Amino acid sequence: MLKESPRGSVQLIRHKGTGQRFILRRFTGNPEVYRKLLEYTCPNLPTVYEVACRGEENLVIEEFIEGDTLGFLLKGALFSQEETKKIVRQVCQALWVLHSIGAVHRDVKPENIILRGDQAVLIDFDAARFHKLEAENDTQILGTTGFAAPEQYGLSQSDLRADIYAVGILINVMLTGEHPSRHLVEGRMGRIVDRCTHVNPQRRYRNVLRLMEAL
Amino acid sequence: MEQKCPWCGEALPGNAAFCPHCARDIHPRREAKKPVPLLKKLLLGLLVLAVLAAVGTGLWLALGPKAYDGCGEVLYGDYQVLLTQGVDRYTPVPEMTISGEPEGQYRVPSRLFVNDAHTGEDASEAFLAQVEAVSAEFTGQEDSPSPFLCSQPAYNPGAPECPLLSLIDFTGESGTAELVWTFSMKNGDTITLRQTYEVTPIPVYDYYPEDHPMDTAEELQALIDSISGLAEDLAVVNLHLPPVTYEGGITIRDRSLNLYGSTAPDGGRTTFAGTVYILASHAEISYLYDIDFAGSGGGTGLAGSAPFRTTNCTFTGWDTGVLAYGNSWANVIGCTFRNNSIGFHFDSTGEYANHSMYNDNLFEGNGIAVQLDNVPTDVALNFMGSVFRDNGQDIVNPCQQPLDTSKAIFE
Repeated sequence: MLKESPRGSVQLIRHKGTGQRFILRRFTGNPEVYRKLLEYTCPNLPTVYEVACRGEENLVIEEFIEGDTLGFLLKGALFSQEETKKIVRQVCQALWVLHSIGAVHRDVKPENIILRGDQAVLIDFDAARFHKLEAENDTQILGTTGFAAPEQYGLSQSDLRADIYAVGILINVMLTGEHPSRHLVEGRMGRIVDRCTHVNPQRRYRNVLRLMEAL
Repeated sequence: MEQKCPWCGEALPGNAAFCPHCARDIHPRREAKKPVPLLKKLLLGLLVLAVLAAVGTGLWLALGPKAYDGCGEVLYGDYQVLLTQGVDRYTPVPEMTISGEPEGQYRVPSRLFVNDAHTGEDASEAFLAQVEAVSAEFTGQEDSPSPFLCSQPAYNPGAPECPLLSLIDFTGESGTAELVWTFSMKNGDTITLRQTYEVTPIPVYDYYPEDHPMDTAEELQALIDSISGLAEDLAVVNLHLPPVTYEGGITIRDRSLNLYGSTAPDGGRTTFAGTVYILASHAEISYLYDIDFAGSGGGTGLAGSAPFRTTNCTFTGWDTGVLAYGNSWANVIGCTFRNNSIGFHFDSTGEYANHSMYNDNLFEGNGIAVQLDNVPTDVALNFMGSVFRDNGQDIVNPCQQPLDTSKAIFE
């Protein structure tokens, strides 16, 4: 058992016949994003192998990403600006795939990013949902406090710019170890973080491509 | 509905994406596209557009109709297309400066030559096979009191060395204008060849017997010799001769002169009893008007190795009335040839013709009225209105020069 919460659990399992390791997720909620990801492969996203539902309960078998999470690594040290840019660009690539299928991750944070060698992999789509234009507000408050965008607390509907907000926080934490409200990184990276985390989503980068350009 | 694992063959639910028996993925997937930042995309787009534009422009330039424009010369593919005035087929003549008397009427050719740009060989046939239409016109002479005129380009037997020629007519008052040859090619290309013509006034010097002694052949020759050193080459020199008989002959050399005979009240005209020579060291035409050449049974009345033209003259009693030899081109117009062994004898190895008319002459009582041994060019000599009467032979033409005697009168 890697993780357990009221919303579900994450287990590392081993296939008896092949010895291959997988991640088994159990969670309640909407498995749409996982289903959609069955059709794709991306080096910065775990491969989703199977999605099964019974009522509100969902089971997902996905690729086991062997490596340390950014959250673990950040306990020991900060990242340089170059390392940060390289990792965040790869996170942006993962988000690009999600956003291009209409999904928002909504839980981008160091603990959901695993470094597999020099590759950053964005995991955990339990909080992810498809962005629906007709929705006025998110129906549930999801995401991680501090990394979730204001709109995720019900201020407005969250769209892909909620993920950009979280990436802004991520950049700042990787460089300073602190939330930008406490210590905004200096210089150009600080300006990028500032724009990512603007309280008005309209003032943030319009999409991850713009953010990648800025990086 | 069940399905079988393509890897291990075990039965699986119809909507299975993963085989739990062999732990293999059985779901079709595609690789997610990598994001391309907008700036890069924009640059790539611009690059693609630039490449497309360059390719499009290149194709258009390579394949689309093109316009070529040149002064005197255009390089069109492998062809050197040029306009000249003379027979030098390699040197374009973009500007022609021609001297003209104020009252003078002139005609010069604008010659087209087409050479292979690499070998210099005549490529006119291959080039003209690609021409849909060709025309010529003068521009820039709207206010001219005496505008230039040009004939439409055509082959001219008088200038067989060039495939097309336009005849330019002008006067000494025509000023300056631009001749434009336009070629419409079958592939849609257009070639414009330009040639500027400028007429500069020629000074005219008139010599009258009242002012200069010219009653004898010796005096006349002395005057001619003195003029040769005085007047510039391009000047027109007119000698107005008294109605006297010059017992001897004269020689015009070094420059052209025009001799104007006159008539006394008793009807006597300016007469030469000796031979008049016009010798070739110049290419300008000497004009002779209203003069009698009276021989005594031998010799030549008028012999020219330089170009000359006689109008309203008579040649009587000579072995040869008029002889054109050397490089000469001669015209006789409105003249009388009577009782000569040969009236008019053309035996020139020159290369140019300057006039084709031999009209309104009277050939009477000659052994041979016209003898054509050698005539420059293949231009047809036109004897319109000339009368042949009582000659031993009217026309002897061993060089088989083209003739137009359709309007001549043989009595």
